[in-house]
Amino acid sequence: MFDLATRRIIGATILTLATVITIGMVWLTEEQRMARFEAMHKAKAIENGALLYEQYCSTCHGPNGEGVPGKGPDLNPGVFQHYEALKQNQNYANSLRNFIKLTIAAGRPIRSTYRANEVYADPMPTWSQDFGGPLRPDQIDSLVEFILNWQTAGPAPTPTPAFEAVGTDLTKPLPPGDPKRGEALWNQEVKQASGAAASCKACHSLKPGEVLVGPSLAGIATRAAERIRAPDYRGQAKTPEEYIRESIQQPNAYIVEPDKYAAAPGVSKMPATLGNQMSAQDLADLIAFLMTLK
Amino acid sequence: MALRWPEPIPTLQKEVQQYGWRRVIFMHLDELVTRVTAGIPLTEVRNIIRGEPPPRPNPRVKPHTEGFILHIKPSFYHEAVTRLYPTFRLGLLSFYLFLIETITGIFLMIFYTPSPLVAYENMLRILNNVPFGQLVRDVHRLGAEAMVVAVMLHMLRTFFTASYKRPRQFTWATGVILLVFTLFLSFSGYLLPWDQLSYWAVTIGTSMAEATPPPALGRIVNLILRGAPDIGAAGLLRFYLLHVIFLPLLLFFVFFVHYYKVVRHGLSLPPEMEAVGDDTARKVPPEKRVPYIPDIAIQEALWGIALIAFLVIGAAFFYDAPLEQHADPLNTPLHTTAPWYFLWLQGLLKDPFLLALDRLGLPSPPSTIYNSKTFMGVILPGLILLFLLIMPYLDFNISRRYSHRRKALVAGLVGVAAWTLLTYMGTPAFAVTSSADVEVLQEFMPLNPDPLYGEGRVRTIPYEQLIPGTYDTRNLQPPADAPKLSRVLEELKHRIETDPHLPQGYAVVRISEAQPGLKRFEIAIRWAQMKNGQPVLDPEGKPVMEESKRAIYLHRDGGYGGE
Repeated sequence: MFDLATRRIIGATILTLATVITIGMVWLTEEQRMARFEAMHKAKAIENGALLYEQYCSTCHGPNGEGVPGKGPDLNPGVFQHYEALKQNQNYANSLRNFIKLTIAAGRPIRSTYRANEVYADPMPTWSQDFGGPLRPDQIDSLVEFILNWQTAGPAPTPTPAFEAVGTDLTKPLPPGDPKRGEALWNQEVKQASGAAASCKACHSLKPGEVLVGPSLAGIATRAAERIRAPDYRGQAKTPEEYIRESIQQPNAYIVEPDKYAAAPGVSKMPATLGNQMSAQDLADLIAFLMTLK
Repeated sequence: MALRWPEPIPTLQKEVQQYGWRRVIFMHLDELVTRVTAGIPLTEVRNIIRGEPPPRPNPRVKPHTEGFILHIKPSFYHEAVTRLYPTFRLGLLSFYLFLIETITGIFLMIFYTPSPLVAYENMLRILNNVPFGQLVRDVHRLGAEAMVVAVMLHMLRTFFTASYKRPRQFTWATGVILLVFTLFLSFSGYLLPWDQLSYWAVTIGTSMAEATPPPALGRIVNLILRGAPDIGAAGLLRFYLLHVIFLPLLLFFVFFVHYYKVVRHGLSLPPEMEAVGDDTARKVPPEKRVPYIPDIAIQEALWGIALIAFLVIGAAFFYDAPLEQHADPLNTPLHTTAPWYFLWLQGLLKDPFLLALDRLGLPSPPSTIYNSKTFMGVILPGLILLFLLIMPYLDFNISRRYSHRRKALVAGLVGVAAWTLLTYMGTPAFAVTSSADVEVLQEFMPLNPDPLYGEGRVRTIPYEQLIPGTYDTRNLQPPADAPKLSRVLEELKHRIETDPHLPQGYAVVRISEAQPGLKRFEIAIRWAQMKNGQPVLDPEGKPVMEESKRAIYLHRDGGYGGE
């Protein structure tokens, strides 16, 4: 139909047009594409952050950022409230993102006073490789994206069951304890009345002599009986059961080996808020379990 | 007709008085065109466009003698080599691809810093915040793959048409060097995105360097290449410099040697057109000559246009350069592979001889020298390379006719088949087995995109269909409004129940909402522990189950839900 030269001209024209049209199409949609990619990469950062959080953070801050008494404060909504408080009370001038990033990367050199009445066994360690931690800078950024996502999403609705906490009241009568359920509480197989798992085993081992943060509880029943007869004992307990109860509800009443187990003079490493999580039944069951550790 | 300046050079005013302004404008325009084209006057350009034959003497050969760019090009070709066969334009395409890679590469260099701290971030920036960033990156990557393919095919073509024979042996040898440079150029660029894919592919590729004998030398070669025992900041910088300066310069230099030899000896004619032993490429009878300008030049321009169209359209609609997670030296992804053009090496390292003996039921030989990494990874490839380099000098068959080269052609086909087979053996589909549970988890939700399974089946479920709940494959009751979830759960059930290594196997899938817009997807696989072909029973008589668990998180904007 056409000679070779004409066919070549037609072919070249079509191909050039196709290329130009393609570039034009890319041009027109480039803004949306970049926005889409940005959202996608942020989503991937959040996903990676979630995996890292599960691996490194959830043992102290809880799987859903609800905190673990004695180990780490709640992040959702704690970290956001804490940041607002810092801004208002101490003229803290950094951004929320940087506040979180710096806290993760460089850790907390001193123990936080993050929540009133809470004392944490150890300060936040450094996490960034820049400060001797295990995580790369991009992993820190992913974690920050994950934590910030709580705020953009709003605090997750966690229904809190209504219950009467034992608190620090030592006079409240306890029902008879079930050592089986106490053991299940210890092993975090059943939850406390507050809906959170009991965090005892995070700091106390059941192996004789093993010190995680607090002393090993192996043989605690026998030891409790000795403690109340010790000359320096200043508490009110008359029986081993009462001693254990006092230690849980009012850990500052008597601190064994303060050099080792006190966070500050007169303040035990053991948090004083554990009773807020427990019903009288929880406490009785735990005591019954601990009394089996002769 | 070229115009001559009257002497002495008159002023513009006098010119206009003498010739009239129309003619003066034409004279000046003509001079400009003649200078730019290095010798073709405007009237001749018009003749070219109108398709008229050149006058004598032919002004269209002037650019070949006067111009720099065209002086290396022949002024005419033999008519027999201007068709698709026998050259398939593969050499030209390789050169074009090199140019395109250079241009797109410089664009990418603007936005890239070769440091592990920021390299990956730069990649995200190119994709998220640089207009046309993704297109240029895709063209660069697609072009790199195409260049490797073009250069390999070019070599095969040269072999099968016997164009490597006397007097073109040296041209062939430079071509083999160019092939090696092309492979390393592509390979060195592989590392730069600093993602899991690149990090581990290059780790595998460079692990061969350590095996260079003797061990002391191997350590030094490894240190020189990687900058440290493992790839890190120093290794990335080295690969970057190799990729953007050293290898391109070397390749450019060798390319000119190669092309000079091509022109010097002429493009070899199709074997059937010459008498046996003749080389008539340089003795082109006048009636067979096709001038470079305009015929070949137009043809080459057409190929260039077609190539650019292929790359741009391909990159815009069909091909996305991969970018996986940030490189993690502490976490080796399952099924890690070298780039596809080095898979044959990975295949060699899987000890194909031993495997073959084993499959045939023959005893393996006592010596292990030949199946060591040193032999299979360094010495044997080195010997293959050396053989390719000197092959034309060892070929004493002067005939280029296909019918006279049956052994050589069969050997070539066997070589291609062996390469293909070894490439297949290099993929994780061959002789790589981890435990059955890990394979299932990898198939359904790999932590990094897997060469066999891609993103995995779980990530094909649209976000809305990830309905929180616990799904047990022994008693599947997926929600009715989640067809894709149901399908994946059915596949998981089928996959586990038909796996002979997972006796009494089942899976418990837990989907939960971690944050609004973020879901956690956990698969726990349980199967009976076996001993001597019998399930192990606990004191109560129930089979002891083993468990394997993995969880991933899926975000609403993660871009999942496609096939």
